[in-house]
Amino acid sequence: MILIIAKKDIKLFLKDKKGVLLTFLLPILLITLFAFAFGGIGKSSTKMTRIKLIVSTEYPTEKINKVIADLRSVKQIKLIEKPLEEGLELVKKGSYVAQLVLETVIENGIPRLKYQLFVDESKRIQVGFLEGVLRQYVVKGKMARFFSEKFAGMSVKLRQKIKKEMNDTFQSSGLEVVSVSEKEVDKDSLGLIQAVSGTAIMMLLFSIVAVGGGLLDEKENGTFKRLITAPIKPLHLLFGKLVMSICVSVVQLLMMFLFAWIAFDLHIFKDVISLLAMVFCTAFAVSGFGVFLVSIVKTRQQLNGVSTLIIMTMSALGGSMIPLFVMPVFMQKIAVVSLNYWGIQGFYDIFWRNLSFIDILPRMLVLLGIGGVMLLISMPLFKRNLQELS
Amino acid sequence: MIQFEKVSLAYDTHQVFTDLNLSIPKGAVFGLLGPNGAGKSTLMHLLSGLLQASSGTVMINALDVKQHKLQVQKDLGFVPQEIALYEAFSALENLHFFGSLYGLKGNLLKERISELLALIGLESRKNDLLKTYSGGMKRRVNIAVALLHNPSLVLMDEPTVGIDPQSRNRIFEIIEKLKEKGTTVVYSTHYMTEVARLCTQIAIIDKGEVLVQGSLEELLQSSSKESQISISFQEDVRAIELLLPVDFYWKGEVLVLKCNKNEALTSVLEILNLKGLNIVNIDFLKPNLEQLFMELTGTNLRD
Repeated sequence: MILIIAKKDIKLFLKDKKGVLLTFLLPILLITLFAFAFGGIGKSSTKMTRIKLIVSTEYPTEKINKVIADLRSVKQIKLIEKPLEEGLELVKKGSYVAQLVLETVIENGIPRLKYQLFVDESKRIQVGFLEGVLRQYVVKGKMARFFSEKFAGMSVKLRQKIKKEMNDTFQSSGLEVVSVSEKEVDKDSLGLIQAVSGTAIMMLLFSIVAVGGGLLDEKENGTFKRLITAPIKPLHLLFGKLVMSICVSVVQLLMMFLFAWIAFDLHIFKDVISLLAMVFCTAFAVSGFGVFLVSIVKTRQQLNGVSTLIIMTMSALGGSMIPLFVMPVFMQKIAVVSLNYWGIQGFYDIFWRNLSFIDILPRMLVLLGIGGVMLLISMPLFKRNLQELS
Repeated sequence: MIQFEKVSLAYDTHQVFTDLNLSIPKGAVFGLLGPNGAGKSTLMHLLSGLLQASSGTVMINALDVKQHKLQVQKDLGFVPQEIALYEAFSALENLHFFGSLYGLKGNLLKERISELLALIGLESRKNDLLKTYSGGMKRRVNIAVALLHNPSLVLMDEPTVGIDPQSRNRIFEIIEKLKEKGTTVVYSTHYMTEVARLCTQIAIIDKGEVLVQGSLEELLQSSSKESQISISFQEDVRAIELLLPVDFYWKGEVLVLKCNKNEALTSVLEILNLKGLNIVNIDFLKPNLEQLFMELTGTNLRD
């Protein structure tokens, strides 16, 4: 009897071609994704991703210009020259990882070149990488000067031995790293913002799957048939679900931030308008995803497969599951395809970067755009799916 | 007035209707009879706008359903085969929600809801969640939802499946009231007795074709089945050789004559009298709807 029942269930499973595809495709995709994130795949690539570094100076001298020219030859970084103020603003807004400010200072009556690196602490991995590259450059230059001044006639072999011994002394000097965050750097707070916003958006996506599930319930119990024989336009049913979904999402996000305030002292009231606007935009984007699910799924198995695939992929890529700052640079670039990325970065802007509403607006517009595009795609799909649902 | 004109409909490779013509007069209680898969529900779906014909037109009160779907749906109540209600809602909440879809609100909606709750006999249970209701109670709410906006056309797709006699009787009363009001009702069922009791017009359909249509009397007259006369005797007379002017057969100890003519009966009775047989009873058997249905649709089992 068990075998007969099992055979029947296998047959039913195989009938749903999309379900079958998703069942096998999902693990493969996730394995690939995590391999890229943690396994170092792509490391050996000959084409290394270059980190964009803003370089600024108020008073360019011949020496500073030479440093800039030398830095251009460093293959790991791509230099972009910007005026001092503008460069700093761009780093503050999160558009660039860091700004290198070069200036000449007088120390003990001798002019010295000062290297100041203004960094966005939320991009720890890239900052660390840049620091390493720049320190190497600065130390190399300083050591070369030191040896040419003090031991001009020394043999190459002896120089290398001394250089190796002295390396540590030079490593700790020359490059001053400054965080652009207006408040004191609190690494726990950054982690908290990451944890709250990342998890909130991922959970929101999971809860929005219920929208699709609700529609399937209606299909199964016949209420959907009744709804579409009522004098209402089919798309109104879709929009109704969108509105419901936005409301649920807004409440869910606010509850999560309130919880973070109560439990972890996250300062959620510093810019309430931006927070509310960001919550709405995130809710809209996520709800757009919800109605997209409504429009494409026909069976519960498809719903489970499609939603898990998209949510896990977007969450892994966008920084919900793994913080973006621990991901390789190329993964951080791919992250922009995920709505989680825009949501998380938006909340970083509010809580970490302390940006104004106007500065956060572009991220909000991207989220609204994602929601809008999802909705536009969903409309014809839903109409086409209507007869099968009824 | 409902009019199907040369309606064809196909699902993938399966042709459900080919040039179907059917007309249902205004105010009729129109019974749709047919075996499973005959096309009854599909016909209802075409009327309700759930499906669109591949070709031909479906007109309701001079409006093409395809072109004026929303307008048609405003004046149409649909009772699906399933209990299409929200189980997590009470009857009141269900009625309120579906009434709102038809633009009913405020006192008008409240009045309609209380009228219908009284009609279906569920006033005292109106606030209970639907999932606590019996099958019959749910069926009654299922019908009430379709009547909220006082539609001039009500489609009922097997509304009495699996319910107790009391609920069935209440549903019949509801349909009788609709008939009195002049509401057109299209009623699909497998139960011949329901059609015979309620419907002013009947159509038997099978394989997407209307086989016969008319009043019950008209259908029975059209039957090729002859009336039969059964004669019971005081004792078992089957051993006696009979030469009768009509076809006959024995059903147990009862003699069944395949005839409906009195002259034939007279001569049979004379012969039986001559043989000295003692007749104790004579029954006149007329063909019924079920016989006609089986005659038209066959006895093969359907999926």
